[in-house]
Amino acid sequence: MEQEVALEIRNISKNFVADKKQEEVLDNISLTIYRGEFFIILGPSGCGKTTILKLIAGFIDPTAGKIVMANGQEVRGPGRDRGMVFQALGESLFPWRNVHRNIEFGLSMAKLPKLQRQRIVEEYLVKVGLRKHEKKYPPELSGGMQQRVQIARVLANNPEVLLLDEPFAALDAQTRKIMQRELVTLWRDERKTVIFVTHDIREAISLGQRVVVMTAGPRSCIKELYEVKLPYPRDETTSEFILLLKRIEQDIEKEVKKLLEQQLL
Amino acid sequence: MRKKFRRVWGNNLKYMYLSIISVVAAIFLWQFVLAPMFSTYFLPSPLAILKGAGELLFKKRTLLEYCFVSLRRILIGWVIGSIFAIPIGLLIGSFKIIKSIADPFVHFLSFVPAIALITVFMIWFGVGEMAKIMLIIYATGFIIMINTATGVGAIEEEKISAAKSLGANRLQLFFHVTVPATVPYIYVGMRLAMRSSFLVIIATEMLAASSGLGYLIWNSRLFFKTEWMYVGILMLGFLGFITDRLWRMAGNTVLKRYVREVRRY
Repeated sequence: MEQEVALEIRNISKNFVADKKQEEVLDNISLTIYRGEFFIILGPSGCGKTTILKLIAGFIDPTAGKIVMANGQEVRGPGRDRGMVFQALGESLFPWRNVHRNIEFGLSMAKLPKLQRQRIVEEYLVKVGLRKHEKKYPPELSGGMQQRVQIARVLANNPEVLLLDEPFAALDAQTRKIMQRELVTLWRDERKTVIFVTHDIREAISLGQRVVVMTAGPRSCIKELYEVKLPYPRDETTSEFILLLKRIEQDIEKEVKKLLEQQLL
Repeated sequence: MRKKFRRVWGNNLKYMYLSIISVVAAIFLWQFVLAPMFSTYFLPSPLAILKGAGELLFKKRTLLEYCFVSLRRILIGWVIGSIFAIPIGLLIGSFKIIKSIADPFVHFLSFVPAIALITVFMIWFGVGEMAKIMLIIYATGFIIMINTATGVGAIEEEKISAAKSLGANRLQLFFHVTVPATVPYIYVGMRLAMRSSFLVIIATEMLAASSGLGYLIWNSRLFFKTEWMYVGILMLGFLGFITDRLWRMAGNTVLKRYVREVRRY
């Protein structure tokens, strides 16, 4: 793996204020993400994995610490160098724009010339397999197709880092499998840095090169960092896969138990 | 043909027949069951009303003029009201500062019915068309404004976040997300405002006009011509029905991609 840094999370903490009470979500998290890697953030629900993604995207600001991009620039607010794919299917697309114009959105905002926009949009329509559906509007698409639009829309904008927030969680199992495979193909094709959040251990091991496991919230931090050195496309039935699955499962189980005990006390 | 009909008018032909049958049945019931039970002065029959309409149309030659006059006042006021209310609503919804400045006036004045202001507006704007159009602007403005501002508040967080991380600046965010995402609320607001402008113009014409459907309805009483009164009343329903149908047609065609979720009714 190339060891060129794509972004660095330095001692990030995040508190939310809810009902005048400080709620500590993340506690002193540091991570280095390398250029071109497929990085997974895995953890039980409520552990603040989405919060990390939002911090990287710049939708929210950290309470302490900072995130530094490859060029040395600190993250301040959202930017087109960090593209986000949201879990919510319909809500994040623009229903008044057809598929073509949804994918074109970032390019239009950047005021690229029409011909160039056309060329890029067509390229990604083909890559995500939506060539025949470009004139359709998002509400007319299936969940899987909507997520394809989201992915194409972000990739067309050519970001440094691709952030995905449980993008396949709302899809049926069959579609999810297909989408996972296609995402890996796209990632290898585009050589993008991918940060992928999920609570699904199988998904994490099927996709990621490195998997960080978070502790249960509140005050989540990093529990364990795994390297997955299996070749793609990954076979879920190999003994290495299952061994890793069991180890991570134990990690997560411990965290969930801790969480339940806390709630019962 | 059927498909196109449904697309434009939002109705199935089959259900359209049902609607026609129900109207014809109601007219028969009125003509042959209800009307014979009362005097013409108390409840004229549909045929008597039709005869009255003939008198107004061909002998007095006032019906078309009155319809035209009322409709013109309504449409001018409604359009101007929308032109003012939509941008103000968008600004109120988008900026806390503007909301704080405008809110007290909006929520105070929107409860003062236009009818309460007929006399005031006549003192300010005279007895001519100006006062009547201003009243319609007043009556439609608040409905559209409140709907628009509500619409801005209802935009999904994901849409805004997505647009920002795709590189939209504040101005682009406003014109490419806030405005199109608010169109369903504006569409419904304008539709409701049309109803209240009918209410206001009739009240105004009854009190202070020498033409229009409100004038016709109010003055028929003086001639003991209740048929004419009913002609005016039915014309109102008819004109309202037509304008609403045209508005729905706009929703099913040019505005369709914006108002998809609110155009069904």
